[in-house]
Amino acid sequence: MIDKGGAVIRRSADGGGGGGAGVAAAAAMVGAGAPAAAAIPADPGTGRIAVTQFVKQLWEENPTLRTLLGMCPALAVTATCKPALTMGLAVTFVVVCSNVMISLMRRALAPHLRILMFTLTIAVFVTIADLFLRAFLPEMSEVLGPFVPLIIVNCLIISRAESCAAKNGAFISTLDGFGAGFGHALALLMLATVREILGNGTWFDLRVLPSWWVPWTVMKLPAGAFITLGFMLGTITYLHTRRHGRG
Amino acid sequence: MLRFLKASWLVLASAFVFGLLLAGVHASWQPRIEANEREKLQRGIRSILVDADSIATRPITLATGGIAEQTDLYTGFDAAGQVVGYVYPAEGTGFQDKIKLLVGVDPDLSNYRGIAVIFAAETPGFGDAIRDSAIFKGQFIGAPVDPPLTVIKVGDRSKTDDEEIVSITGATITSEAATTIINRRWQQVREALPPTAQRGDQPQH
Repeated sequence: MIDKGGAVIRRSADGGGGGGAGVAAAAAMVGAGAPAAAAIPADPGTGRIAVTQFVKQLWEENPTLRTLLGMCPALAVTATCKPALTMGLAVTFVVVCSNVMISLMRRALAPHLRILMFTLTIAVFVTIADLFLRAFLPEMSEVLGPFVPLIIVNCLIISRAESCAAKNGAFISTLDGFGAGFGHALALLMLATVREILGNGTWFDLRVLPSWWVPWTVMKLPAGAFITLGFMLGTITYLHTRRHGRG
Repeated sequence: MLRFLKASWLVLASAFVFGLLLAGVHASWQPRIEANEREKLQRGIRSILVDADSIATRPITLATGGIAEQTDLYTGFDAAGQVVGYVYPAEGTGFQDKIKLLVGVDPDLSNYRGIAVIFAAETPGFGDAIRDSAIFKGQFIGAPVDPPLTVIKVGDRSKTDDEEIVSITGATITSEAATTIINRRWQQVREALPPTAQRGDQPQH
């Protein structure tokens, strides 16, 4: 796995040069993530690796808060908590299904076609998620609007496909997918909680602040999202640096 | 040719399999999706014609600038079979995206009965309020169909029987867009609406 990780760094650097900006960004993220993967001790057993990946994706290498992937929905749908949770669960569904599918196909992936295969797989599952929302949760589908189809271009999912699913078996990929998806959902919920309580006085549509509270309308708008996200990222990076030193 | 197939067999096979998967999912859920759309429409109509017992649907043809347009007219009947109002869809450009409305008029075609918003993706907290603001939407209840409605920035929002609509603070463009849509649609629909003497529609239960 360590050798393969090293080989993939070279391949994805080539792929990054040829592809578009989004692909280059994903490849750069992979380059950053691969050294961490190489630090796993040799042959600790599939179960241990899977659980390690799950826990790592959930907090320490949380895709949204640490590696800064999936920022677009993080800012767009977190005005209130219900859409944030729905988006988090939709992304989890897509990343798990696509991870499993990619890891089952991994031995047949030609290097120059793998980005195409990733995108094809992700697009299929996003379409299924979108149809599901429109059929069973129509109000949520309306609130989330164009951001459900936009999950296809979410760098988080293609990054997990490239750095984990394309190199590991189905079980590890599944747990990695759950970790990344739940980590992303956790980040969205943290952001949405702050924005909804301050901007609306409610949490999951239940009133939590007394009626004399004047809502901070800025929290409903993009400016509030950026400010809150900035403070969150600053705090988490500071805590991480204090515990682990720089990097 | 063979080299091409050897390199891309996985793409072709996956595309085929995924296509089948999507076709199956779509076929099994499309009825539900369409039912949801119809339900949303019915809820909008019921919110305008609150005293209607039953609603009848009839396609009508409008001559919109020379091009014939087909749309649906919804007629509300009370328990005695009397017409309580007509509702028709209207849409147009809003500030950020299109706005789709349902507009209601009373049986003698002299006043609006209200509006319902089917689709609007305006600025959250400002233009988006046209969807939920009972105060803004309430200004259309009882407003006259002639002369055309005008939007003013400052005024008394509780005066609902005049042709002045007070815009939502901070959402002038959205308010004007909605009013323009309503005015324009009225000009297109008025020819196709039945006069009071005609009771051609049968209530559907």
